[in-house]
This record gives sequence, structure tokens and C-alpha cells, in this order.
Amino acid sequence: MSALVGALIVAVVLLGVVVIDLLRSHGRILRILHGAAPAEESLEAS
Amino acid sequence: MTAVFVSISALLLAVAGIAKVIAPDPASDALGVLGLPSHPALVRLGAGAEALIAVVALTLSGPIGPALVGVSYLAFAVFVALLRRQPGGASCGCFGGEGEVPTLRHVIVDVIFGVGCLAAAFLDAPAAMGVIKADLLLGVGFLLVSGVAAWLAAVILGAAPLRRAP
Repeated sequence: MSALVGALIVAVVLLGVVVIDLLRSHGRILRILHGAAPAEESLEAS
Repeated sequence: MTAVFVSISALLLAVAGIAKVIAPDPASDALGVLGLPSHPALVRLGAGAEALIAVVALTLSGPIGPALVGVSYLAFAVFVALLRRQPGGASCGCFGGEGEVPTLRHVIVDVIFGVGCLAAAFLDAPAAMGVIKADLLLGVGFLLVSGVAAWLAAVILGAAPLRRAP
């Protein structure tokens, strides 16, 4: 049972990192769309 | 608990190994950048060994499988860290693709998996097959969740896309 719980904990942590990445990239896309950051600059930063 | 690291790391190692057997050129280029032996046949041989180590760690009980997976990940961490110091930002080719940037995140994930697997070796953690033998339902659930976690780790390392390219 502890192995399954451990796997779930690790999966949730990894999912959290993926979601944070998605939110960050979404924010970057929004900034590009609103002209707050030049697209080329943002792409280079990524 | 440490069995988790072995199953996730071994699944990821198997995928990376198979990917490099199919497409050894990016990893070959990365090895060449560091001045290491880089013939594609050598890469394929090493990648095949990776996949074999992963299968051993997933199926056989005992410390040898987890220890080999742990040492592999720590070696990858050193390799990616050295590659990061090279000018030009060469792809690491860990998953057989071009443009796999050797990031600090890559080094950190490799170190976490490496240390986790070595801890599993010292603590004699059961292999995934052992967990399945002990309780079929829990074991299959464990393997499925480990597979999802390995895929998430691949996404974090930039090896697996979240969305299909248009």
C-alpha cells in the first residue's frame, strides 16, 4: 500500500510542476498577445 | 516508498534507452561535443544497456537493479551538467530528439532519481514485479501510477509534448 501511496505523491508533485509550467507559458503567451513583451524576445527567453 | 523512485526512473530509462536505439544521432552529437566516444553504434549499445538495466530493476528483487539505475542517473546528471557548460547549447539527445535543451532542471531531476534509486538499493526496496506479486491489484495500480509519473517526468524534461503538434 505504501508503494502505491508513494507513487501517487510523486505523481502529484510532478503534475504540480507541469501545471506551473503550463501557467507560466500561458502567462507568457498572454503578454505576447497584449504586446507587453516582444514575441521574439519572449521566444528567446523560453 | 523508495520503490517508487526505482519504478519511475526505470520506466523513464527504458523509454530513453529505446528512443536512443532508434535515433542515436542527437546523443552521439552531444557526446562528441564533450570529446567522448560518440559513434552511433556505441550510443545504440549504451542505450540498449540502459533499457536492459531498466528491465532488471523493474523485474528482479535485490539491490543490483536499483543501484545500476541510480548510478546511470547520476552519470546523466554529470553529463548534462558538463554539456550545460559548453557554448552553443547542444541538445543532450537523452530521448533521441533534437533540441532537447540540457537545463538545470534536467540535472536536478537526474540527481533526485539517482539518489532515490541508490537509497532504494540500500534499503532493499522491492521491484515493481515484487509489488505486483505481493498484491496484484495494488501492484498493477502502482505500476500504472508510476507510468503516469514517468510520463510527467518526461514532459518536465521536455521529452514528451503535452499537445500534439499541428
